[in-house]
Amino acid sequence: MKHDQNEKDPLARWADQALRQMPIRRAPAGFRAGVLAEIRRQAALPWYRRPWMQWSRQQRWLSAMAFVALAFVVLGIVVPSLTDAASRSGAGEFAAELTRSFTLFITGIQSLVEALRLALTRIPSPYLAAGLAALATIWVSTIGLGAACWRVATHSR
Amino acid sequence: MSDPAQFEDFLAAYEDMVYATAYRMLGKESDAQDIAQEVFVRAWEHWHDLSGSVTAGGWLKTVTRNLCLNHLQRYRARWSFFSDLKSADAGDDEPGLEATFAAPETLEVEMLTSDQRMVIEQELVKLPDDQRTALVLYHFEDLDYLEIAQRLGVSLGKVKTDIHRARLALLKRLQPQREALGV
Repeated sequence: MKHDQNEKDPLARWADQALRQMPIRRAPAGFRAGVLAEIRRQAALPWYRRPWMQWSRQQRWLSAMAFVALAFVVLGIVVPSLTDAASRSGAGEFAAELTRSFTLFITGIQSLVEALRLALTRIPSPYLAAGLAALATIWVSTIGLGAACWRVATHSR
Repeated sequence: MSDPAQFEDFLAAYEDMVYATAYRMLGKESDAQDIAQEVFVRAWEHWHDLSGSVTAGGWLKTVTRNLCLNHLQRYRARWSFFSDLKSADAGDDEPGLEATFAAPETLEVEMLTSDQRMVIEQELVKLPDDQRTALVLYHFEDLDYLEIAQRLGVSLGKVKTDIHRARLALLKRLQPQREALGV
């Protein structure tokens, strides 16, 4: 017996028996025609629009070889050329520019944090509480209310 | 198509089985139809191996089951936020159906009337996805609790609870029918 529990548990035995007596649900009338139409539609697609696994063996071999060749070209020729060009045109300047951008970014973050700290210390607590309450209301009215509606709608299932 | 007539016969022979399996697992006609169509499109792609194979029915059933599970996983991921709220709402600590409707000590296993079969089918579709999927995998797909837990990516305890609740729900909803019909 595949399910030993069925031997012991009367509820499981009952459910098994009841479920297996359910009639087989028949496929809709137009189902067969729909499947055949879909197969014909997919068969009419050009080879390059089909999934790679459905390409012919030759096409898959050729495409794999083309990919490997492209990878070699990119890694062996393009990347070294770019690196070489960068070093010749002054990589030091490029590095300095990167450092300046990074410093600016960090400064911006620090300013934001400082502004937030000042706001929290200077804004009177009633205004702060009202702001937080407004945020909470927005949250409840969007995500929270949406979740509650979904739960109510599906609870009756 | 290399052998469309033969494939059409194959389609006619198995369409009900595939569609019914998908419908039981998904509980929605449109989803079941989409999945069943996808199953037969894949069958056509493997027609070279499937034509004349005695295991074609098993292959179809396995592919149907896997596609349904994938579909349910995608649906669950999409609605995980809401599902989490719902599952938390129906946590294991909640008394639930077990407390309000205990299964009788003994249950007669009898032939159901056609009305009762209809009720069972309708109620199966109405069950929450988690419960229906676990119940169908257990009773129709012959998977055991551990396999179901692994396939659904949930704990063994949840599978047992879901199946038990689903059975109780079916029994509870069939009980008025049994009493009305005097069986």
